[in-house]
Amino acid sequence: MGHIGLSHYLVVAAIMFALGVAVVLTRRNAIAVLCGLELMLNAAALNFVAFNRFGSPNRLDGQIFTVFIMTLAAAEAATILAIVLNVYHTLNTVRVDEVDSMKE
Amino acid sequence: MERPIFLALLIVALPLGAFAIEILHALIFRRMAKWNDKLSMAAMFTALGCALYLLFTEVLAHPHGIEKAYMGSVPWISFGGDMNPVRIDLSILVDNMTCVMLVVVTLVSSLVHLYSSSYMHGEERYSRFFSYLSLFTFSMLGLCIANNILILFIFWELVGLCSYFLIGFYIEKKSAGDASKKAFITNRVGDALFMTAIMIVFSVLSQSKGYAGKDVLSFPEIYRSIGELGSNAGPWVGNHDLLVIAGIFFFMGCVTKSAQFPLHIWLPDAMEGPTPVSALIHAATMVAAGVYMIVRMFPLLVGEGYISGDWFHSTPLEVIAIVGGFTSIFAGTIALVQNDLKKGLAYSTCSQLGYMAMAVGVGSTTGGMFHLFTHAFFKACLFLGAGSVIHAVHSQMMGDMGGLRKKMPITYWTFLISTLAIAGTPLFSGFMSKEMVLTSALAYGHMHEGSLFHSLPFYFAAITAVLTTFYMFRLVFLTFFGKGAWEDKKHGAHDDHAHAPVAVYAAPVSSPGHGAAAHGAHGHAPAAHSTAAAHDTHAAHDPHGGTPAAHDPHAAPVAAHGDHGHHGEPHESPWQMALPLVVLAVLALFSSGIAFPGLPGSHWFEHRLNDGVLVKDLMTESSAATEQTRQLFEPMVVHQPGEPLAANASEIVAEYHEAWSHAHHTVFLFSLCAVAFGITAAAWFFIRKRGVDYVTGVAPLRGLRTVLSNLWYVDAFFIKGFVPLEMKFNNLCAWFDRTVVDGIVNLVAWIANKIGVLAGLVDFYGVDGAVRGTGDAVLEGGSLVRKLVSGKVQDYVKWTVVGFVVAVAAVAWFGH
Repeated sequence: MGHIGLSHYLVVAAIMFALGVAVVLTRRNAIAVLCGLELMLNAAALNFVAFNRFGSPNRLDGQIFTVFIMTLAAAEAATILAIVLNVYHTLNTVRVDEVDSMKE
Repeated sequence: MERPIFLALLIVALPLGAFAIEILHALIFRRMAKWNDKLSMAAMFTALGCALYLLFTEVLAHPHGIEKAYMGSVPWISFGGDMNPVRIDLSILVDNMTCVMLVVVTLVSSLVHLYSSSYMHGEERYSRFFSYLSLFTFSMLGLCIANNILILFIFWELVGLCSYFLIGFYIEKKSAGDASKKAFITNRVGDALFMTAIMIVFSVLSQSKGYAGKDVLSFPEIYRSIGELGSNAGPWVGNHDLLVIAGIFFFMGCVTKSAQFPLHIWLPDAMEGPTPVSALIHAATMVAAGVYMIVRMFPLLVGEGYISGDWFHSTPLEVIAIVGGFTSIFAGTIALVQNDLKKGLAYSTCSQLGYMAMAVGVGSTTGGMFHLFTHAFFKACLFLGAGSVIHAVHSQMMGDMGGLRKKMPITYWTFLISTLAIAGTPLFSGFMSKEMVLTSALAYGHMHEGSLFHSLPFYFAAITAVLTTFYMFRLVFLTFFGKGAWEDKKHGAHDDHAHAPVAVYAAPVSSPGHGAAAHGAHGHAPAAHSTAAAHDTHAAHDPHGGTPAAHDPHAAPVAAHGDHGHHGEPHESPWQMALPLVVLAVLALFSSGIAFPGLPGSHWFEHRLNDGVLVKDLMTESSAATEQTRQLFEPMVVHQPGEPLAANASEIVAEYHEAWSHAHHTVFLFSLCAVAFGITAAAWFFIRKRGVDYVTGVAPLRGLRTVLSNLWYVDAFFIKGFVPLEMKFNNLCAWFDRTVVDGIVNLVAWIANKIGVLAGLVDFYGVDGAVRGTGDAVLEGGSLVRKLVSGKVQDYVKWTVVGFVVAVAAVAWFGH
């Protein structure tokens, strides 16, 4: 196969992102949806690192962004878990297809 | 404020004040005060004092009276902004004519007040009567001092209103109510035209350059415009037709107010009012207001010839001359056959008013005003004398009178003096004025080389002079001479029918063919009432008839007599009634000095109110007087006979002067003959052959009398001809209204209805459809979109992804 280039990373990231989207769209469990979300975030983070490595290797912008994304992902996971807990307390379920109170 | 202005205002304010206090008292206490008569009388006599003071100090003290008219004004209405400013002032004019009118009105009015305090005594609404009199006097005085044709018009309407009140004073009598309505409605005709004339003057003057911001309806401004027309300038140039129309319309105001043919019909009926009212309003003052008005408007009536002294070739004046002349002879003939004393006097008044109007028409305002002045006194005296007689015999019919000479000496003598005055006997005031009227009429004929049309006024007037003497002495002889019906009454004891109006001297003896018509003169034949106007002529009103029956028009002639038949002989009236008679009789003698040409005082009036003086000062003052314009007016001042002609008199003035001198002698001789002939003829018929109907012997005259008794069918024309015609016209109008106008309206409504339905459809399906369609579309779209908003997070993400994919695909597809 030879040298692993940028496109390899991008393909992997795209696959990860597509898997993440699929998980988010298909899983009913809120926690699983959260996992899919993390997958999508990580795909994005992988893109940042890959573009940093192959686009402008002397700079660290992409890696810094990835650190931000990891922080964001942690915060997001905490927030979403808190929301899921409250949803469970209020509606007695964690299935996202059963929660449609945003309609109102 | 100048003293004459102040006095004039005071004179006008006094009766107004009296009226205001009386009416306020009535409003506050819900009843008329008992002292109304005293208050009104006090106000009137004070006003009389002021007026006499004004006359003696301002007019009589100087050889030509007030040389320069006093004027005062207060701004009243102004509009039009700066572009086209128009102003109407409350302005007052005091000149010789005003002073004379003030004296006439206050004098007659105060005497009538005094007279009424006895005559109307015990009458229901006695107090109200005096309030009306005060209001009337105020209005009439206001009319005389007005210096503005609009203000004159306002007072003109006010006197008409008071006349309406007072004619209908005996409200229980239907005839009185009818008469008052007839007077009021007839007057509307002239008033409408009068107002139109004012509008014409206003519109012409206010649109003219030189009159911006001026009081265009005031006499000085109107005179100025005529003065400019004389030199072919000013607003009337190019508006000659309007000028003629305005002049004729002004005269139409006079036609109704001063009872000229053919709208004189209200005046005889106005005799339904109390006799003092007839004396004050319908003889001396109000009816003369029409003549006063045309005298004031004289320059406008003459038009462009005014400055050059050519007062004899103007269309309005020709109309006035012929209508006035015809009125005088027309009313004079009717007066020949009247058996009601007051009606006889009423037609006489009508005839004399014709004289006055004719005098103005033939170019002699002096003659018109002079006759107005003297006539006021002797006619007021005649009416008050008639009232005194009616008071005594309780009837207006001369058939109930006769032989009263001995019983009522004061009434008799004063009545006789006034009769001599109206007949134009030398040494009586009427002689001077009547002679002047006749002379000017004859001179007018001469000015037109004796053309028939222009000589007619003189012929009319000359015949009328004879008629006047004849019918007036007929009244005197029938009332005061011979054997009275009341004497029969005395002997005939309680027979009521003996003094029902049996007019032996005029009973239609002959053929039954015209009997019914001749009965019309008596007004007792029911048929005659419908023809000879809606007045119940001889419902002999009885001022003292306390019972309601006495005011019942149908019961009156008998019932009133029944009530009063036992009073016995007629007796002289109390002093309140006798004194005014004496004063007026003295004035009938001396109001124009010692009335014979050349004797002391006999020309005082002509010197002060001659044609030139009337308007000369007003005109020059307001037209930026230069010496030149002043000279233009000189000829008018001196063209009066008896004065030398100025050297610079214009040709036509000189010609007129010549014509006048010739006419003078003819008329002088003629008047003497007319008086002598009239008295002799009357004496022959009514003393020598008393009791014999003076026309039965002469067949052609019987037919004539039928005509005369029916008032020349003029009233019948209006009632039978005009009113049904008008009713037909009304019906036609109603039909037109119902079918055509209503039809059009209905058609329009139908079309509108249909259009409405169509519009409804369009609205429902078009507009509403659009609205509803939009709504529905939004609703549908909404429910469609609502399905997207499931509230489920995954759906949102799904659509986000879809959107993202579409966006990427679009970029991928179109991006390059």
